[in-house]
Amino acid sequence: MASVTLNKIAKVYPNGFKAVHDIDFKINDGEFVVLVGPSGCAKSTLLRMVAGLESITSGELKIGDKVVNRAPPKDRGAAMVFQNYALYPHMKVRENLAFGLKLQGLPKDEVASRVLDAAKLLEIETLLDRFPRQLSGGQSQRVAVGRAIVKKPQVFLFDEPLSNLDAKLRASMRVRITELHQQLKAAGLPCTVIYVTHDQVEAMTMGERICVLKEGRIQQFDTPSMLYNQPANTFVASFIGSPEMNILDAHLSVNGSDRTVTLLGGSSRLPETKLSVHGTELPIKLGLRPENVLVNASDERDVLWIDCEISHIEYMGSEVFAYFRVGDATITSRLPASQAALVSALKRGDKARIGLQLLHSHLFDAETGVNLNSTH
Amino acid sequence: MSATTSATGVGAVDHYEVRKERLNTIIRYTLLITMGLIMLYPLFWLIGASFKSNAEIFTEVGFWPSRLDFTPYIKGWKTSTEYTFTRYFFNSFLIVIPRIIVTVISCVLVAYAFARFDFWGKKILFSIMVATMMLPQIVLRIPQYIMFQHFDMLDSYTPLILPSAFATDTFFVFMLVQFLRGIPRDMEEAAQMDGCNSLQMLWYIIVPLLKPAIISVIVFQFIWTMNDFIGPLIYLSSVDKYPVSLALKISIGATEEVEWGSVIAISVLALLPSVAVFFAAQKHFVDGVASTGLKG
Repeated sequence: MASVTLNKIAKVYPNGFKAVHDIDFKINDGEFVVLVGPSGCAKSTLLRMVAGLESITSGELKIGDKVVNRAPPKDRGAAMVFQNYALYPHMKVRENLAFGLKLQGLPKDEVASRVLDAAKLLEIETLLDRFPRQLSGGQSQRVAVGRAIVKKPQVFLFDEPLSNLDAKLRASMRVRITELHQQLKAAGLPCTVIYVTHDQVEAMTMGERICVLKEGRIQQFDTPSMLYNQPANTFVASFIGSPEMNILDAHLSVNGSDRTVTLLGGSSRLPETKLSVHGTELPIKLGLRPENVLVNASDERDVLWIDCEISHIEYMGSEVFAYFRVGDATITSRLPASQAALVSALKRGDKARIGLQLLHSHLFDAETGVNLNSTH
Repeated sequence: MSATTSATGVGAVDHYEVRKERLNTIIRYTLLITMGLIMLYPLFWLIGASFKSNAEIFTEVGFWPSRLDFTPYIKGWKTSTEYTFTRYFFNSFLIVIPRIIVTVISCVLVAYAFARFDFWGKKILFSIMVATMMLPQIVLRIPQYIMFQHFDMLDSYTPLILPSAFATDTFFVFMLVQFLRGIPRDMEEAAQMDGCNSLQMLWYIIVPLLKPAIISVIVFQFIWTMNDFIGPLIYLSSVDKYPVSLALKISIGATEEVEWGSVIAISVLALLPSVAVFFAAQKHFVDGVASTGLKG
């Protein structure tokens, strides 16, 4: 198994478009890393550069201790699972799994035993003599994973492997892939995984570390809890978490150790935190997770109460998302189902009172969007 | 009560709809079958006439022969030359089979290059290739003849086969390129990850995926080469090397009085290989034609 190191990796297309801007990171041996971002953030390009399907314009790519910038895909020790599975339609499942091993020139019995082991692991033994067209989406997916596993690669690359599955299957495959990673680790065969997705839920649930990308640049590379609790900027803050974090225009006044925020016509003192701010009066963006927005609740401390109108409500079963309007701004609140009664009687346009728990707020620079908390 | 009424009402409408639909179907099929029979009439006439004598051919209007007489077939097969049609059919296959093999190999290789690789001048080369499709074959005959004369290849099958080994059947290249462009590249990328080089990729992945298009190429090339008359006429001078198409011609001209019955009988036999190949490949062939957007 091996680590993957990217050193100032860049990609410029022949038409001059720079898709990847000097990316630097190191993925440790046996780690499960997720690359996540909206469409066009170059996450797939980056993965394909690691795989060797896309050329690297500049920088250095290392798998293990070897620089593999110019190595052909087969010499990189990586196996890839494609979004639409890319199974060979004219070969049976067994041949699909064995194809790569045969090309490597492994002896027949070794090929057969590896195929069987992978099939057992993924519970596809009964499918071995079928053609890909006779498989369902979930089965094809497992065969595609199997085709990667049989090669015992140093690095597994997943390119949005679950996006063609329905929601339920996607959730179960998510667990399966994570379990598989753990299982291999426990069996003493830890494998490095790079997993690309645009779905932040997938990223948060699967990744040991997550790399958030936007327009070919890394926004933040950290553990799921750090991304959620200490987002580096407004982009990460609003990308991670569902429903999205509320990001509101606000004004910060600094007077010694006293800090006051003014927003939506109200103002409140902020509890003491380390902030890297210059000047005494400045516009900021204030981010607040929906779970930190209270509705019609009692007299909690450090809460800024605001009068607003309700816009609409979404019932999710165990919880309720309520959307409020204050002037031009929309604020989302996430309530446990036990509090659903607070909003369920309300109709669009009804008055309500919401409380912003500023203790949990994130402050961002109004222009650059960078988190003002000094840990960043 | 009201429920029953409405139920029968609905039933009546359904019945009417069904009858209308059935009538429509009958009209449609009658029309199509009639048109089909009209178009097939010459073929029926040909088969019927192959059993007739000269007198009957020119006097009777109907295509049904008065008796089932196989002597035209036997006479025609023997020919007025020293060889029978066994020899001529054999000669035809000596041209057709090697030509198909070299066509498929060369066209697939060239199409693969055009569809999947980036190389200098690709666009210009491709447009030149497509432009040669517009060039009438007849324009090339004289220079080609002189060239093969210099190579000392006249009166052999080489001039009929060799050009195809260089993917000069641009129509096939074009068809294969279009077909390949329609195949997603993911499988090739997967194969690349599995460790295929370019030629392994072609053999293990592309060729199986191209199968319907390759079968179309085989069928077209078979029929066209089998029916080619000008090519053998120009390059072949010894009768013992004649293919069926030329042999048919000499069976018309060789004797003073033409035995039309025999000529027609051999024409019917000459049709058989093409028809057989077409039906054998029909399923795949239609696939290929449908997915290249090409009319058969």
